[in-house]
Amino acid sequence: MKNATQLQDKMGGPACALDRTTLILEAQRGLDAVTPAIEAALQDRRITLRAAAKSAPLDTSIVFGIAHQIRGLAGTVGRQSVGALADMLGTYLTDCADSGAPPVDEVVVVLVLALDQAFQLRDGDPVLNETLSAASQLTHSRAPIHSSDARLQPQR
Amino acid sequence: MRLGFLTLNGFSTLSVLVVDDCRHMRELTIALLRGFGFQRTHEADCAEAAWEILQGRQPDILIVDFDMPRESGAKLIARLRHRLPPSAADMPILLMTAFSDMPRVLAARDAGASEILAKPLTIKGLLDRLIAAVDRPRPFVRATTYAGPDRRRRTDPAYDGPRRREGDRNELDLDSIKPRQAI
Repeated sequence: MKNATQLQDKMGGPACALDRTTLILEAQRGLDAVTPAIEAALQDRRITLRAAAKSAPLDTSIVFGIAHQIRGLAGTVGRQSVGALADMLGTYLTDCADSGAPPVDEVVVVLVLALDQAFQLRDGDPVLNETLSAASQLTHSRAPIHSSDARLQPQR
Repeated sequence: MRLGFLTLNGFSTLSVLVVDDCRHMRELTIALLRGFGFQRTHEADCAEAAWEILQGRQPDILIVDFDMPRESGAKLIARLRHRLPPSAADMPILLMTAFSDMPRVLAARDAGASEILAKPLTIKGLLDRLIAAVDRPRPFVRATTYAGPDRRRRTDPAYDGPRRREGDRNELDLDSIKPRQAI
């Protein structure tokens, strides 16, 4: 028989023996309690992102930082589309930075506008679905050659 | 909960440190952890603050964000894996990342992260990794260039290279093993 791990000793048994359903329900309650504060924080970042997109020259480091935070928070509180658009924005900027190609300001602004619109719509809304599809096509068509996808291709 | 002759206390007996520069992300993560039963939760808003906490107390589990200003989560992990006393350096570490592209995953693995948690966090995803951290810790490897859990998750029966896993030797000393001659 395998020896108990140090943490299992502390817990008094294996973690897999815990009642998953109860733990998940309790965690969901905890999540529900903080969701209003997270929603408010997301709205704050939305306003900051709008302002950053209007700045000239465009400060992509600020845009990336906000996209990163929105990406981290949105999906967990049920805002999958907002999170997906923040992911597209962040990934586009990361790919540009990795490849050395400067980001195209217009692409960034369009993605910020799409993200801003996503805040107003519910997931599953046809307009939001179209926005997601268009934003995805835009980032793929404008992605630098040395994108993260390209790096995963086997060397020949 | 009774489990044989043991009483299963759950996660309430374990302590956890959450490191993230985003206050709301820390609040969200701690809310989930409290739901799982963790009662001793600590937080830090940067790698330096986490390092100070780690000098004074050793949490049972560390959850750290990859992207933080000044020092990244990956650098913090590498630092503590190499510089904390052995009893503390081998704690399970979950690294959270909002952008889980392959270079980041490799950087996290090579820094010594035990598990990678893609953001957005999900309740099930976090719970699964906590259970893995408690029930299935991987053997710890300590060398000059790497300290952390064994990066190989599989055992290859056809492997004929150097035997460097903990189970292969009583005392791991990777630096004493010379590379094989090229054929």
